[in-house]
Amino acid sequence: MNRLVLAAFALTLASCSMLGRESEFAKQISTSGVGPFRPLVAGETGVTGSQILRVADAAIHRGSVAGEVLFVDLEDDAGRAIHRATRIGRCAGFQAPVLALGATEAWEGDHVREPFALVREDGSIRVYYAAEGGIGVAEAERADAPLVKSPDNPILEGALSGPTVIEDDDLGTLLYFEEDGRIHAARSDDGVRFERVGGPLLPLLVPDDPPADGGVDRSEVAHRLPGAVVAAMPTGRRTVRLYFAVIHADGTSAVTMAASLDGLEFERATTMVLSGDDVTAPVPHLGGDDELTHLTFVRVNETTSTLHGALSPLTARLPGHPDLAVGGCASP
Amino acid sequence: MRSLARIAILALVALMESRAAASPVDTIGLGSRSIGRAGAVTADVEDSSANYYNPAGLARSQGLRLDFGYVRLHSDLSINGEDSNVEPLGAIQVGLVAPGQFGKFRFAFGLALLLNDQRMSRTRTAIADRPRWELYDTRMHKVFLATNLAIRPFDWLVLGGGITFQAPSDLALRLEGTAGLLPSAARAEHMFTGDLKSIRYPQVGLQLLPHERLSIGLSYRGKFLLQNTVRADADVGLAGFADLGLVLDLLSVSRSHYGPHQVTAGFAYAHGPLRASFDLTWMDWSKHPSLISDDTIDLDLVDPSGVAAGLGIVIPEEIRGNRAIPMGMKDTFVPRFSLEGRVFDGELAEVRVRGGYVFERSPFPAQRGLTNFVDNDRHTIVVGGEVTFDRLEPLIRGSVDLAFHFFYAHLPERLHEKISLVDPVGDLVSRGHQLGFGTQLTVSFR
Repeated sequence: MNRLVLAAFALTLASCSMLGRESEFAKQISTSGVGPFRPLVAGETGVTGSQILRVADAAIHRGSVAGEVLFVDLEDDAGRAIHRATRIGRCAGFQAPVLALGATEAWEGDHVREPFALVREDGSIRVYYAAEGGIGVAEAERADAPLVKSPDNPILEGALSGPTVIEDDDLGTLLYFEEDGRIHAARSDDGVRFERVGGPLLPLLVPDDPPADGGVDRSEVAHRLPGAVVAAMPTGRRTVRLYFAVIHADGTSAVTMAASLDGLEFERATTMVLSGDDVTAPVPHLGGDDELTHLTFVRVNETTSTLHGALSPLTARLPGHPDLAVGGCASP
Repeated sequence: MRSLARIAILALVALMESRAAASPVDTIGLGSRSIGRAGAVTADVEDSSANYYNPAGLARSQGLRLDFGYVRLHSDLSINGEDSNVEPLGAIQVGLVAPGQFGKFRFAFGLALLLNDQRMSRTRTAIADRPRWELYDTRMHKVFLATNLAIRPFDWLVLGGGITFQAPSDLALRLEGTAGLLPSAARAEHMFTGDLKSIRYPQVGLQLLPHERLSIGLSYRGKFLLQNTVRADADVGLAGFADLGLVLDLLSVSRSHYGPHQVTAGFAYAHGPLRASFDLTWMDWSKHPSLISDDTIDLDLVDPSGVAAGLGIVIPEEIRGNRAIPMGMKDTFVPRFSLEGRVFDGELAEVRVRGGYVFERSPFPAQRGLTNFVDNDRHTIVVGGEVTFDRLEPLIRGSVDLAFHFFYAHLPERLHEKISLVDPVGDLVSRGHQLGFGTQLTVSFR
């Protein structure tokens, strides 16, 4: 009996010796798509820094990812056209692009530009693009198959830019585009024939405190090149997230976003989602079971414009990131 | 200079914010015997856990009792499917009940101590965009110390009361120095002062014993508020610019530790080898003050000669303080049930088994606004047992009890849909489980 009592006492004391250790803080959470977005690093892109495509002697104006393929608005000595590039291994970056779509019809003028690739449920793809006379669409069975322009082009006429489309069971098909520095919407039943809906979606914001004489004026003068995606939050709520470039009176360009439940009434984020005053043309796509939001964007300087990638949430890591320590993304 | 100012501000803000906490025994209970009965012991507790559940019960002890115990709780809590890294708790529990006689009256002195085996106290930085389990993250990492006195004026009545100690903090940091482009030009001095001041809150209780089978209990625990204060002031110059300096004054007052008024009523009914009990606790959570700290930050650039303006040095506009945000919490009623039975009564030992259930509705509203204090309803099931050896003479003139318990809590899924579609954090889904166990060795002297 004495042994039993002593053993029980020893057990109690021994359990006291299980010292704990400090745990990490919970990870940062962002399920609304507001970001902030982290520019990718070289290990993740397989290219240079956050650049996801590198083309010598060419300016890139917009890029849109559809699975393993990137459609890119590229301007070089041969002119401006839409090119296609395939992914480098498991990287976020892409190989040298090849011509995918050029101006061939009278309404398009001398070039086509600003592609937005929409992957449909059956795996086929639609590439919406802008041209001189409006917005057109080209289709393919797969992202890497030849694109065929729709006979209904232009699907929306006018001096329009930056088309981006969402296709959703509940919301239908909505096209967002830029006209006169403001973002507008159009609705469609088939993704080919669109009707405009209302006026500009978002107001141009003016800072509460106007700058003094000689100060920097951050008043918004235009919204450019929207990119849209429909994403679900963990609660199941689905929102349309519209990323776009904000042009300020001082000439700088930043990227922010707005969100909507119905695709037409938007709530504007109060902060920029990307750092920098030289960024534009944000195009989102989802990854990692829709928990990751990728953003392709263009960084513009006086001599050229380059295509980059960013990711939210900040703590997410793509293959090849140094934190993962499992080799480069380019290896199989 | 601008970078220095930002770094200083961010570091200080990171230091000053702290997370909500409350008494660890509110989460896991006190004493394996009482935890094994789901805490439904207000009417008939008589060991050292009476120091928490109902101090009146101390006066029912038949002799000197010493309790030694250990409890452990593992939390598997997640937000949006990501582990929230809520740390496990391991704590040593020590208790004493020392009864005596004063004239016709029986009285008892009691003391209970819960000492975390990892740290005496913990405060973690609150980061605005990182939702956290407010009641489980650091709440449990505190010392609990209670002392009580109980008296039994009549056979059918016991009364008790006492105080529990907690410690808020009052921190002050002073920085003085010079920043320069060259390391040799930099100079810094700092002075740090920290005070852990004790505060006390009362608890009182009574037990009515109208019949040998029935007991009724009522207890009250006072509210307490631990308010952490951080004062920081910095006076930093720039090497080579004698009249240029940065002056910072910061005052942060955060409420890191709040326990509500609690009133518990319960009864216990014993019949043969069986005992059933029920407790209902009212918790005054609606008075919970905001956990968002009140921060006042004054940052000024001393630049009488206009040197800084000439160099383009400006004070960042985004440096500003916080203001408290109402918590919107609601009072809760917590029911507790337990059953206990003697299953073996031998010559050398007696064995009892017990179990119980607790339902705690979350006092926190769904986090739809700017705050992200995540909490869920909690369903807790406990099972336990106890072996009593009461024929130990001449080793001990009394008895030895070994109690143990296993604890399982389910925190069902809760959705937090943000009012703003562009909230920086966005919608949240929280859920989780908790598993725990504990033992308690009691030596009772006749």
